Amino acid sequence: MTSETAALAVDRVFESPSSTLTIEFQGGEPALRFDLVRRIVELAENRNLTENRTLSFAMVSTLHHFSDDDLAFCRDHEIRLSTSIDGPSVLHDRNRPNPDRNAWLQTVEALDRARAVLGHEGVSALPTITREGLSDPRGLVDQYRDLGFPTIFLRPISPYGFALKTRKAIGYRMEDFLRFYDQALDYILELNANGEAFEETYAAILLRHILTPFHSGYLDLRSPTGTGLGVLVYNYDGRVFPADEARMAAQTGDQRFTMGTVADSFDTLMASPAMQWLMKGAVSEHLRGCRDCAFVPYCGSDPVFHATVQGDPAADRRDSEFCQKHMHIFRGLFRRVAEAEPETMRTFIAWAMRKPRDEVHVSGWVDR
Amino acid sequence: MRQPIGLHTHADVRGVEGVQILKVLASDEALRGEYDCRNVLVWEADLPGAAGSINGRSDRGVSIANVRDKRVIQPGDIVRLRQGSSLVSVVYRRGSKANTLFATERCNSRCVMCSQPPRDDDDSWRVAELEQTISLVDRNEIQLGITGGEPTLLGSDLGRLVDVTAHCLPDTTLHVLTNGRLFQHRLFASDIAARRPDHVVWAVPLYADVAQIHDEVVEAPGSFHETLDGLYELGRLGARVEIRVVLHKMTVGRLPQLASFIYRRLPFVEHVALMGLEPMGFAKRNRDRLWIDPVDYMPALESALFHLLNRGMTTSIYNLPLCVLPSHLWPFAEQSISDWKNLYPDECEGCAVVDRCAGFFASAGSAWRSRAVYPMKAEEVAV
Repeated sequence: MTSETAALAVDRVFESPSSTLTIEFQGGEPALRFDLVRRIVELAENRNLTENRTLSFAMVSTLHHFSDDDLAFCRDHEIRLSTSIDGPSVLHDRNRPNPDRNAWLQTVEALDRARAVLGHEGVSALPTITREGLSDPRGLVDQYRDLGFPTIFLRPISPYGFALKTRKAIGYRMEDFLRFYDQALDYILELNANGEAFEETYAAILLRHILTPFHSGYLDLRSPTGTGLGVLVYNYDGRVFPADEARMAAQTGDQRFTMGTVADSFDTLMASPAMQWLMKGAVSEHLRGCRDCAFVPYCGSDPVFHATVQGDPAADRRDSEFCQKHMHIFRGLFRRVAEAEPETMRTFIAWAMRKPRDEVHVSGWVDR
Repeated sequence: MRQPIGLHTHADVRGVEGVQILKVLASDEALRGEYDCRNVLVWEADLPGAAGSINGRSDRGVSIANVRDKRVIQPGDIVRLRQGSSLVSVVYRRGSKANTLFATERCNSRCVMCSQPPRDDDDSWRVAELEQTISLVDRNEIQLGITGGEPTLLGSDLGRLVDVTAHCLPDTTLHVLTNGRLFQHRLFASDIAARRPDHVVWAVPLYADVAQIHDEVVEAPGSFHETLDGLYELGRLGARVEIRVVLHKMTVGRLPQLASFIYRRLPFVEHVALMGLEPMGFAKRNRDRLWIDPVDYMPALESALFHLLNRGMTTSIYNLPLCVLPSHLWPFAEQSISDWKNLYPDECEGCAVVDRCAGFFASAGSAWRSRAVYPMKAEEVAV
């Protein structure tokens, strides 16, 4: 990304009417262009002296390439770091081959370094779950516990961005993921019941939707969609996309997902043909397969997923893996709420309310 | 038995014209000139029966002497005197946490347990007296209540009381007991509730999550929806809102559901008070419909309380003595009964926690006493 593109992207960011803005850096590996990261952060902070938005920063990184100065900059400007840890070292290294075949070790060492500067809460991690990873849900959860993470976010690999060949090697059917998910969630709930606070973040997001009148803020489960309306992706070449998945879809040559370039105004981007097309699938309450669903108040619409997989942002959701996944997880959560096992309810309320589980009173009464 | 100090006594009252609202002050404080000297009754507690006068002269202007119950009147209080009457009424008591302005006897609801049964007479004369009272309240008063009747029936005069309070008592919070129904009218709500939103708490009763029960309790069809519409107007205006639930046989059945309803539909309320019944007024004649021993609704109360607390809603238990509550609910129990009607009967003699207990309403006879009441021993309450 050039400096000019970066400056234009910051202009677009502040054209958003939102009072809360987050600038997230992704790559590739953004730490390899930390000079540009610095420039963008300083530009945005200066701009915000007059804009007075709630401004925050995040970066997705392998953590391998940070200098001490870079980490100090992240600390001083409160840039939250997120990295990928796919499980035990054997699995992680196979997923992420590097020249020295020591990606896991490098990441864990870098994690320690980053934590030493940013504090324990300043770095989070996400697993990419490949076919091989499905065989050992406990191993993955234990890896996160061993590394001192209080949460894990379990989600299937997305269908975008991979060549068909790769997809065949690492991909799986949704029901295989869901079997894995159930086993992992059972294990995590067991840990909690035994007094160890550990969160499965996807369940926590859904439970916040189910048990409270508030939304979690999670972009991929919104109606109207977060696509374009809650997030914009500014590509290194200046193109603008309504979601990271749209960027990946465009990489395979499908230009229907491109909103325009950073030189276009925010209003022009929002009125682009790409947005008009995708917004046909923006509102769950209006969509076939969703509008009569009992779970629609807690779910989202994800038009980019349905556009890429089914060819139509407003495609009937009943045939989609998105629906299959959420139906299954919702049913599992609601079954547990119906059973109302006290320790499970304590865990669920703690997750939904984002409070320590020992501050939850178990009242023996569950609203249904 | 520990009896409350009442708000009324008699005395030899002289020189009053019409009605006069006066601040009682010891001479040194009166000399500081904080209050208009024409409205200050300089107090001489040492005189037999206590006495007070304006300008320190009992031969001219207002004076009172030979107060029957000397405990009733203390320096700092505001008293109301009426021409030709020996009655001295304390309308504001310094140091009390329960000072309340009585706005009107009129009401648009007829709650089955109303402790202050409404009357339909025109009592708009009260407003001028309240304005005078507000001007004499201690400047450092933290909170002043407004009750009725239904204060919103004052219409724009209620807005005037808010303004006068803002002018005389810029740091004081008003706590207004209202059924909120009239706030369904958006213009009225924004006229009244948009004034000093940080310094007025609207305390609104809600008795069930379903209209049928709420409307039956308040004996006003349609009021459930009117109150909710009013609450949403208050919420929209960013006003501070408290929900009050009076606990009795008609309301406890759906108490957990009501807690859930409050959290889901009214998450903007800043405080929920779950309140024991005051056996006064209509409550006395409706005892058969209302009475349930608090120990018998304790599971429902605990469920509702914890449901709200778990969800970050500040919730309190009012008007229930500690001996009817399991000890893990004690942290949420307040000493909520206004001092002038707060009684600790003979049963409380020797109780180890009487000093932090809400005690009883003076009006609560044996027919309204829980079977669980007993004096607790120190070893029972040791932590």
